[in-house]
Amino acid sequence: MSGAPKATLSKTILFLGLSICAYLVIFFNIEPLNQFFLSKAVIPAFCLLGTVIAIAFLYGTAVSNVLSILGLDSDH
Amino acid sequence: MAGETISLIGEVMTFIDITPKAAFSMAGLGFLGGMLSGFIGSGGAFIMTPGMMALGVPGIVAVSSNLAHKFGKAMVGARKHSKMGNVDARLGIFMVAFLLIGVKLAVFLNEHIFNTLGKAGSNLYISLVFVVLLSGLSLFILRDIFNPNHKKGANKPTGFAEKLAKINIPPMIHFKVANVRVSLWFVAIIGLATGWLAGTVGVGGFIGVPAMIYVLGIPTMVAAGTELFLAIFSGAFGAFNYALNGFVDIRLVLLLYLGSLLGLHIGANATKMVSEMQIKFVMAVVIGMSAVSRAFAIPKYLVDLQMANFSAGVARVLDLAATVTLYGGAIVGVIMICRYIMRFKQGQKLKTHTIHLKEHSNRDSA
Repeated sequence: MSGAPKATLSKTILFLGLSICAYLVIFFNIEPLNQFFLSKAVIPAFCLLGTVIAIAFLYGTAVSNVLSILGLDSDH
Repeated sequence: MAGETISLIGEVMTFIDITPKAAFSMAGLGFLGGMLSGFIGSGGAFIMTPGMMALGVPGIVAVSSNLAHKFGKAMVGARKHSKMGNVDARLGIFMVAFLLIGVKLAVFLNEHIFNTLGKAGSNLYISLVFVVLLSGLSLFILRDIFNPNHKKGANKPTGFAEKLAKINIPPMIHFKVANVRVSLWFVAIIGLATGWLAGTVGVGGFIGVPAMIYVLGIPTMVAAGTELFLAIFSGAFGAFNYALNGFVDIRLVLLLYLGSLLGLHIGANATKMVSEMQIKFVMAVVIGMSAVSRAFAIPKYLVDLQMANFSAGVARVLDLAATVTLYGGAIVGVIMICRYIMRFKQGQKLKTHTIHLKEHSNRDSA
């Protein structure tokens, strides 16, 4: 019985940690990153969208897991 | 955190500085937009785009960043939505072809206006589109709410769609999942309009879904499912085109996510506790206030473009009114949602209490 919530909790901590790390890395390196992302070429544009998807996935999963633990999960 | 400068033909544009206050406001805006988006079903952008503009973000950057934000969310949610099986793939593929043309047209127009008229011209264009569309949509929803036939459950959005189905402009196409036979031309017009809107204001679904239901006669669930499928393409194509020209501010996207992904879940949860009419009422209030807010913002842009002559004081008051109405509308919407949730919870508590009392009395009598 305790296996499933424990797995969710560890997954939640993992995703929370990863999303915090991702946010910190991006915001502490925003100037070189923006220089690359705003260079008006195909590869930087793809990289920017890739970064956005990665953050949406990491943070979205973390939030979803936290709310699931609190009993507030939804279909989104 | 200093903003980046982008050199363009007409004007040098600077991304806004992210101060702690701006960051908090952006995350709060994301939360309001996300909560409304989860509650209403789509379209947090009609709060987030004007909200960002009110915080000083150039309109074109607000639209671009919002498209990128929407795209990331749609990509992550795509797997879940595909399981729902409400997508008419044939309709989706036909619409995507025209949707992408619409998005490209919108990006071209937005960039052209920015390059020729600058930030104020671009803001004016986006605000005008918002005022016309949102006020029309708000009135449409209010009419739907107060329509007596609707309350009796007799509302079938087939009248206009039936008339259109009789118009035989070849090529006529049958869509299996939606079970309708319509002219490709109508599909093309809706696809183009949805794409143009998505590229212009950052969200097209609030026109695409009603158009599919009321114009093409497609069942609501299939229209909503197909729109989610289209949102991925319009978001990806629009965000990519804007990113190619350096208009997407990743800092804004990340700050919006902080609030929006949390708000989205809360809003979606709230839909389990309210009626469809209550959802529509919140939608009409928020959309209507958002339209009024953009209308208040227009005189300032006209002054900036030297197209009108208001005193600086009047322009400032109107600008403040725009901000107050926008945030006021979103906050009123969120308060309404919270009230509906509290009322539901109280009702549930009362129900549980009554059941317990009944159980006790049964046990006592036994």
